[in-house]
Amino acid sequence: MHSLYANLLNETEKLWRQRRTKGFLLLALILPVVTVLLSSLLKMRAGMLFGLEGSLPVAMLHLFTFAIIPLYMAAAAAHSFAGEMAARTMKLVLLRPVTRARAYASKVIAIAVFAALCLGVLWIASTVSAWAVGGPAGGMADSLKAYAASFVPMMAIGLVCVFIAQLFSSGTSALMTIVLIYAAAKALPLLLPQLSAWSVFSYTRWDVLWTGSGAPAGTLLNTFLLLLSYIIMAYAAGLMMFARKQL
Amino acid sequence: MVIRGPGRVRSEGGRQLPSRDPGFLIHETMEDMMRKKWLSAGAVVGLGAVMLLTSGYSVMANTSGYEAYKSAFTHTKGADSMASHIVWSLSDNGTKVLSGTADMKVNHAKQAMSMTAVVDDGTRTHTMQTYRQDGKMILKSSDSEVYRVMDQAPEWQHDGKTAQMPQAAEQVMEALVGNIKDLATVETGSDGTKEAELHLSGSQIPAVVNAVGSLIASKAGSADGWNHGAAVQGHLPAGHSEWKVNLPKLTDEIKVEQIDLDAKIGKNAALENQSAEILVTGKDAAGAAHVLTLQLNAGFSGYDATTPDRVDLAGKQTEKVDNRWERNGWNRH
Repeated sequence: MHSLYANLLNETEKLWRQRRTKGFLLLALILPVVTVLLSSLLKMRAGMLFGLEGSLPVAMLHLFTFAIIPLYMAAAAAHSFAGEMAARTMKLVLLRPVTRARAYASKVIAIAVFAALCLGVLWIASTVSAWAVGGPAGGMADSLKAYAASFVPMMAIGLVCVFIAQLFSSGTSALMTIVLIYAAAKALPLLLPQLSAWSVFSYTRWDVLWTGSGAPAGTLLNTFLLLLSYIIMAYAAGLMMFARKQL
Repeated sequence: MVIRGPGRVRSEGGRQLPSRDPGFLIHETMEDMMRKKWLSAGAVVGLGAVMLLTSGYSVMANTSGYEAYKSAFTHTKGADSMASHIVWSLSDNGTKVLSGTADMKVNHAKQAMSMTAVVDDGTRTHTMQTYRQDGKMILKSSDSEVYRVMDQAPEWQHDGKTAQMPQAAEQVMEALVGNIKDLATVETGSDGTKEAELHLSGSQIPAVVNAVGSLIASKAGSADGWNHGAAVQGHLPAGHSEWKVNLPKLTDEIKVEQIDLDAKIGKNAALENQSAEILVTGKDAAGAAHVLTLQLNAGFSGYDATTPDRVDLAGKQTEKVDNRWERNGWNRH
């Protein structure tokens, strides 16, 4: 287990050293504050109200789960797998006393760590800024639940990104492909609505099933199992390809 | 020693090498190991696929609440004729500030309609009658004995049915609603009717709905906008400036707190009853908290068997009106 932990530290540091990770976390910190400032400015100047104060944490969460977190995970997965293959630094990872399965696991966990960190930063930043302009703080437990629940679909999407990244040996082409697939998958339910229940990409707002009066337990269980099956399949298939990869 | 395979640079510790051809056999064992790994990884993917199939079908089955409601709604809109009875009220902190009823009979095939709407502001009531007959629109307010007649009724539709929402718009809306439709539930009663409900509260309410709701709630409080807006719909007498609705003017922390939609779907797969309750909270300029509640209940009956009422204008005072409705409302300030 030590090799997993040691490599996780390596991978986390590698991601942290990238500018995009810092930018991504900074965005989670700044965006809620800017939104609140803009809306209160508009309210003072033009008397326009957006009713944002109360729902800011969840509105922000949906913005991030819709685009920003998947985009970051796609970039991180593309860089961490295909990108390292192209830069020939993957050899350095595998020369360490760590099995391929553990190298794979540590890379996946490192991406998950930053996705979770982003959710945490975003929750604190949006809750504090909503509270600062006098928004009702009553829904705090609710929004915390929403943030925790969002982690599951984010992981499923992140692992699908990791799986796709295995198919490429260049970071940019992997990223381009993932983004195209994501956009297409998001648009697909518009053409074929019956498919949306099956697509992992249509669960980015899964958290609404958990908050408030909540969905019936059966729905929660079924959708959770659906996301879990995507997680299992993408992880195993990605691992299979990673283990076979010729350097 | 040749070791093929995925960088697993580890000697097989306690393995006894047979005497025949060690190299070849080591190859064999590595291949075996790989095969086993592949098998187990394949089994995991297979398990995931089975899980996906079972849960996916259950999820699809569970969206039936939403689907049942959608098809009932389409049925209701598509009916040739029907009668509806609507009761609504608007209250502020539990005190009714405005309420009303509307009885409406529509027959699309005959291009006819009749409606009696009553609005009550707590101190007095006002009745408005509207008829659509023989291609004319007739309005009568309880304030006067004059029947106002519009020669050309506003165009309703092209083919006798209410304009259908385009498929694309419906799908865009569905995509926007996203996972919220999984929250809708449906229960089938023993008599074949169905109860569909969608209850949203707090953070479940989409930000767009919250923003629009807050905007309406903040504008509704300013009496000017309310009067003209209502006058357009013919519910309130136009130009009666003393008709003041006692609504608080919300300025702060406006939030749509709760939206409850309940519907009863009859055996004919059309809506029998639809009720809605919307709660908006907020504070007025003085800092006092308000809870605005809009309650609405609509019953639908007489599907394909409704004949709208007619009014006989013979011997009655009439007045011709321009049929440009907009000029009575928004633009005349």
